[in-house]
Order: sequence, then C-alpha cells, then structure tokens
Amino acid sequence: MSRPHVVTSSELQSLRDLELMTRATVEGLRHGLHRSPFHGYSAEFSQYRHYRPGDDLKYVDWKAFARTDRVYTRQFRETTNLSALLVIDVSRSMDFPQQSAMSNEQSGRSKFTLATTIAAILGTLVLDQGDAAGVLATADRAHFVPPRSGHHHLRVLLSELSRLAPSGTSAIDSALRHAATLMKRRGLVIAVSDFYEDEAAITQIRRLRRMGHDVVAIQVLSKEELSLEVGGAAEFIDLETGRKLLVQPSSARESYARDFGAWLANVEREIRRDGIDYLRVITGEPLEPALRRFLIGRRSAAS
Amino acid sequence: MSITWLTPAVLAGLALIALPIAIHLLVRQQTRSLPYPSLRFLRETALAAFRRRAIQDAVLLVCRVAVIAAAVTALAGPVLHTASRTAGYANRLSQATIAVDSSAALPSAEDVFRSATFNRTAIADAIGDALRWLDAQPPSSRAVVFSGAFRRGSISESDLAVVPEDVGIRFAPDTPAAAANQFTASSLTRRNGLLVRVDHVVGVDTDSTRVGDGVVVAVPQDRIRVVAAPADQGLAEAALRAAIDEGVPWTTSDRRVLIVWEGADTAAIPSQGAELVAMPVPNPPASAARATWNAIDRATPRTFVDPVLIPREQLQSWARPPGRPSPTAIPADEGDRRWLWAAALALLGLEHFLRRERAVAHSTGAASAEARVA
Repeated sequence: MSRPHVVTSSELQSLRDLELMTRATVEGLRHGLHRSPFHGYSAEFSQYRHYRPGDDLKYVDWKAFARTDRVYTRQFRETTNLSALLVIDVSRSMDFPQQSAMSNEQSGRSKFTLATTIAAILGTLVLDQGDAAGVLATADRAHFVPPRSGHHHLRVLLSELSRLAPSGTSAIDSALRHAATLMKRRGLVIAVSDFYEDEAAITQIRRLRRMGHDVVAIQVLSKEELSLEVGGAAEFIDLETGRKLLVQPSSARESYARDFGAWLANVEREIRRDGIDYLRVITGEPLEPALRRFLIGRRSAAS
Repeated sequence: MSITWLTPAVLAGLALIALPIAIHLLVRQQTRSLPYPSLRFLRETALAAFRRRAIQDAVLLVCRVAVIAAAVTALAGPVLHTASRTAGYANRLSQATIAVDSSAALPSAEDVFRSATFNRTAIADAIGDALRWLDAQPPSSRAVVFSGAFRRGSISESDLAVVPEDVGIRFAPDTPAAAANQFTASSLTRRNGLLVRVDHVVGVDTDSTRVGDGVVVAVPQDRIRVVAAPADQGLAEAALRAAIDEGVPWTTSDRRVLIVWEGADTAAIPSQGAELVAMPVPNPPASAARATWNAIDRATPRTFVDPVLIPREQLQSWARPPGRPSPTAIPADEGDRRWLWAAALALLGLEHFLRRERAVAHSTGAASAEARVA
C-alpha cells in the first residue's frame, strides 16, 4: 500500500520492531495488547474476590478454598486495544526553520515537518499493532481523524497528516482541550508541539492525565532555537504575532541560551511531575535513536 | 515674508544632498528579516543598543544633509523680504550724480545707500548711464542728482523726460542763485591809448539778454564764423544766429573762433589766427542752435564772463522727490547668508561630535566582546 510522503519507509522500518505500549490503563473495545480497567477472563491474573452467587464455577480457586476454607473467584485483567490520539501543534511557530530564511545555514526539516513525521511513525506503529489511531490539529479549523484501527485507516491518517500546514496562532492547548472532549474512553494522547504556550499546554496535559488518559508530550525544537544559531544582525519576526525585533545575535546569544535552557528544563520538569512521558526531539538530530530509546523506555515501564 | 536668491543657479548644488544619503544607504549595516518561533527569550538590551545605533545613524545623516543644504543655500545668497525690511528699502537712497558741467563740484553722498557719478559730454548719455546704474541697484529709493552751474542750454525739460516717474530728480547748483539773473561782465578796451577794464553789471531774463548799464554784451558776429559749403551756408548761419540769440556767453577780448563741420579738412581752411572748432552738421536743423552752442563751449581759452544760468525756480519746478522702491529691483545681499554659514559650521561640529561618539561606542563594544571571549 502506497503511503503519502509524511514519513520515509526507512524511518518506519527501523521502528517496526517496537510497540507503542501504553503505561496507563486504557479502555478499548476489543481485546488487545494493553491493560484494561475492566476485569475479565483473559490470561493475565489480576486478583481474588469473594465468590458471589452466579459466578462461573470454573473460575473458583479450589486450592485456595482448600487452604483457607473460603471460596474465592479468580479474576483476570482484561487486555484491550489502544485508542491513541495524535494531537499536533500546527501554529506558525512550528514553521521553523523556514527553508527560504535558513537555506544557507540549515538544510534540515522544519519543526512542523518533524512533528508530522513523528506522528506518522507513531500512528503507523499503533495501527500496525492493531490499535486505533487518530489525528487532531486545531488551526483555523479543526483537523480531526477519529481513532480507528486497521491498515485501511493508515492511509486516511497519513493523508490527513500530509494535508496539515502550519498556519494561524492557535496554540496546542486548545487542541488538547478539544481532545479531552473527544476522547470518551481512556486512551493515549500524544501531544507534539514546541510548547511555547507552556503553561496553558501543561494545564491541559495534566487535565487529560487526571481524566485517566495516558499522555505523552513530545517537544519538537529546532537546533537554531537552542542556541540562537543565526549569523549577523537580523530583524527577528515573531512567526505568530508578527512582532519585530532587531537583534545582534552575537551579543544576545549568551543570555538567550541561558534563558532558553532554563525554560526547557522547567517545561520538562513540569510535564514529568505528574508522571507524564516527555520526549524532546531536535531538528537536525537523528530521529530514529531518540524514538527508539523512548519506545523501549515505555515498553519497559509497561511490562 | 518671501525669499529671493542672489544666485539661484547655485541651488542646483542641493543635488549634493543625495551624496550622504547614498553613502548611508550603501554602508549601513545590512539586516535581514528572519522569521522566528518566539521572541520571548531575546534580550531587550541587545535591541536597545541596535536601535540606539540606528537612531544615531539617522541623526548623523540628518546632520550631514543639513550641512550641505546650509552651505549650498548660503552660497545661493538668500535675501529674506520681511515687512520691516521692505519698509526699510524706502528709507535708503540710491543716488546717481550727473555732472552737468565739467567744472561742477559734486555734492556730498555720505548719507545715501549707494551712489555713483556720471560725467559725459552729452547730458543725454549721462542720464542714460545713470538710469542703467539705478536699475541695477538693490531695492531702494532712487534719485538722479544734477550738479553744475546749469548754464542756459546745458539741460532742458526734454532731457529730463526720459527719467522714470519713480526716480527722483534733484539739482545741486554750484553757483549762488543770485548770479543766475545778474552778473558782472568785464571787458578790456582801449581808450585814449590805454587798456581799460570795464565792468558791466548785466541782468538776464529767461529769454533775452538785458543790458544793465546800457552796454550790450553779446557775441560780435565777426568773432565767430562758420565755415560751410555754399549749400550749407544758410544752415550754418542760422545755427550761429540761434546760438547767439540764446545768449551764448562770450568774452570781450578779441578772440575769434572758426566753426567747421566735423570731418572737414581743417588744414585747407585759412584760419588767420582764429581757433578752429569742429561741429557736427545739425540734424535735424532745429538742433542747430544747441550744436553750435556746444561747439563754441568747447572752444578755448575759456575766458568767459559768468554764464547765463537757468533760473533756480525753473530747476525747482523740474525737481521731484524719489518714489517708492521698484518691486522688480534686483535684491542686494542683506547678510542673511551669514546665519546659514553659522548653522553649517555648528552642524559640522555636531556631526564631528556624533561621529566620534559613535566610534568610541563601537570600540567599547568591541573591547567588551573581546573581553568576553578572553
């Protein structure tokens, strides 16, 4: 099946062996790889409970009855499929570095391209493992692909991702607020953004977490942003507000790097505080090792 | 208030203003526009320094442009016409003095704004020169002053008719007024073998010579003769008669004058001791009396008796005060340009100060950057 060019096949193939395991309990409709809050009768033992009339006798633990003279019924954790929603920041701040402005210094992809690539990879992984994946982006209008499973849905997912373009000033927090209303069951929410609207975004992430969703925050940044790698005096134009500043980077670089680093550390600390997974991805750096480390880490935590 | 320029062509030099502007545009620090995700971490101090330098550059440019503009306009010679200055134009006088007689004592011209003296053989030429000179003067009241003895025939109303209405006319006679109507004529005569000087008091009317003591003082016709071709003989005699009738002053000595037409071969004329005086053929004939008069006037030696003068009353009737300054008069340098030169010098000083400040700030910034690197 041909796929829209959001992600390269090599990037996908390198991560095919990994699974996107959810660390939290998710509510699915089908049996799957992930733990469900509902106790059922699958292979994974969960707990004992006192026998109640009507319980199936085949789940009565007779050995326990012999030891304790009490009748217990074995309960098993029901595994279910995962419903993942990829929430992508499509604000103008993600459109950096722009090829026209940075052609002499950086030939890599922009933050937005990297964000859609990550979403495509994770969406493909989710669908490949039989789970449901959807996309939500709130720009001038909402782009929403409801989470569904099946390989036929992959094309829909990737097509929507390829149609996305950075526009407007709509922040990621509004998309996350929207996601909270769309996710009826507990699932996985993956927020991909630069998180410049950090306070509002973190508030919404925590809200989703409190609602029981497994939330992953992926912060996408460009290499130039980290250390103000811009040569010569330039008129900096805020991509979202259009505000202009004349800056001599050589004199501003030191304080910029210090402030930016402190802000990054604060964002990461605030996100991780509630046990929310955090991943920082930098443009120009290899994506596959970073994602691999992240997915392996989640699998370890889930097991 | 209006402004005129003494040399408006110099204003073309204002095009030089483009020079510093072009230099500033060429050498200014090139900045590019760079879209950036967020400006929240960019420090205001760097921005302030950048703006300060940009403002400093703009002030420097304005200074340089102003220096050139001030210098060029100063060279162009601006003349401001304020109400008070226009009123002052009427209070200053440009005076052209015409010496009617070569022996005239010129009047003093100490209190006038501009003055010049014109002395030509023909009074009409002198008046023409004087009027041309007055036309070239800055805005001021204008007057022609005639100076001389004002012998009868030396100036007439027709000579004054060419003087414009707004140019005043004044007469400065250099002889007492009383002499115009009464003078003493001396003559030498032989009486009984002795040479005797006889003084005659002569009274003069405006149109004839009146004998005061019964002795007629007139030009004896045999003392002046006109040599002319037979065809012009009648004209010559009429001219001589008219000149004598007008009262040409004459000595009582035995002096004889022979008037010849200009261009005649004087060597071929037997003068018999008489003085030869050239005279143009009168044209028109009505000017014959004046031409003859002038010819006799040029004869030497001038041992004349006091001439018959134009009466003071007549001169006063011809005189008139200066009119208003002409609005089309060429403006004079009123010294306005010195303010522009002063402004140019002050701006030049300011430009030098700003340039030095900028250089000092630049070197300080470079030193701090090097210190940081170290």
